[in-house]
Amino acid sequence: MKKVQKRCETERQSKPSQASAKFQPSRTMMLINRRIEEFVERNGRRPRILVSSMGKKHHDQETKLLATFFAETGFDVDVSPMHQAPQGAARMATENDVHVICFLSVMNRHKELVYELAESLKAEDGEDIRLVIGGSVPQSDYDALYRAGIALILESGAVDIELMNRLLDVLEKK
Amino acid sequence: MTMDIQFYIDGVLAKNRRITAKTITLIESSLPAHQQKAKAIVDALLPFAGEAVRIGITGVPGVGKSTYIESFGMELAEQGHQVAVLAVDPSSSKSGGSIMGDKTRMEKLSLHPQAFIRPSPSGGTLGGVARKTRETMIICEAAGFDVIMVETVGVGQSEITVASMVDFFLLLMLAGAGDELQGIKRGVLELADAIAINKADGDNLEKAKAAQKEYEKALSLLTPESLTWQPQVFTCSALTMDGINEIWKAILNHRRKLETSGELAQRRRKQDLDWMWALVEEGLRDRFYKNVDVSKALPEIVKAVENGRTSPTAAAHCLLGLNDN
Repeated sequence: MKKVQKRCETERQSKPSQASAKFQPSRTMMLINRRIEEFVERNGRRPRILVSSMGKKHHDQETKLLATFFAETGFDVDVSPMHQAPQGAARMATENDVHVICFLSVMNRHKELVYELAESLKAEDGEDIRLVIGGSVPQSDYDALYRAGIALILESGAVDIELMNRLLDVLEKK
Repeated sequence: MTMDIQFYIDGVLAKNRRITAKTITLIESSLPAHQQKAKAIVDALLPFAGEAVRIGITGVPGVGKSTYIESFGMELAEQGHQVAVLAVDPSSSKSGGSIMGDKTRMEKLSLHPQAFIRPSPSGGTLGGVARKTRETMIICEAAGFDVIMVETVGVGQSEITVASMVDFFLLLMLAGAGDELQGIKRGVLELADAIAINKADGDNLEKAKAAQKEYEKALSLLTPESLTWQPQVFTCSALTMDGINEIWKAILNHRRKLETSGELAQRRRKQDLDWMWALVEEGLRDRFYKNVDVSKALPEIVKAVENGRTSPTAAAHCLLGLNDN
């Protein structure tokens, strides 16, 4: 948790354009928790997210960190096996019936993986499952990713409160 | 609405993976409208269930449950079985969230076309797991799965709940993990139809064999629950696959024996009774919290107990009285 927060903070420093609000973990976290409780009241269950790691070994740590962060904020989190293929992610997501897949970007392959993932989801009747991508993605790819079905890009894999709010926006937009 | 229910029923019976998954979501939902639908679906599917081999698998964290299920499940799938794995993962009591990493170690089984793995958060509601897992089991059986494994974390109440809904209860243990028998509660040992000493490979093999003898001795001291089945102790390795098939043979042997003696039918009736009681208890709890008088008085009474102004016994008495009126 602390590590994730720390990373959020350092990221803010390096990207001043994003630093709109001051980072106040306890209060803002409470707001997120309340939003999630409201989600539960409306949907009958917690938001469920699959954290899929399609990349290499160094992703392991990042995957665990993200999974812990989501669970701490009140998500039910499924964690994929290492090096999950898009087909495997689609199968796991539909079988576990998650609301959203968060997959960690793989250098230079993210566009192609997104296409494959969207296709696989369609094949498994999982078009209703949202896709978000975490990790460093060049700005020039954003448009292509949105067009391919990505609902949200979690920059640098770090998640902060503002992004959590946007993620919940995505989930509530049915 | 009725059409809707039929859609789920047909989908499950047609073995549609996505609709089966969606039906389980309905069962797990806390919304009354979803629960009503789920109840109708389960009722309609009940006649199509009951043929599967129901296995409960437990063991302390780190004993290798997921890896064991991966190997065991793959072996069964290769033999032509349709395998469903239901895993219950603990939810955090603080954030309410959960991490379900069972499939992280079931890499091959989770991709197998004859397998279906569904991890579920234990959720906030006590006792809820019992109803949800039972009903999910019915759905999976109606969807054609003939082996159902229910995996639990080996701590506390969940074993007893799971043992009451399966035909065969397997306890996984480790050799040389310290205080041998002291480590497990006698209560869990009593529930086991078989004990398997996992990770019996390489340097650990000898230790596992020694542990096997220890447990055999311990089990011989307990009065078996069944007249025809004496709980057995195995060694196995999810890594080398040694012993995995022996355990399956024992499960089938157990089933044959209990079928012939009529104990299986008896067990199933007992399972139904347990199911009924679980529903009654859940319903009572639900009614209590939904009672208008109770929910009105609850915050005040909770505060009074917290401040020490009211004794716990008096408060409980008062709340139950409100519920009765």
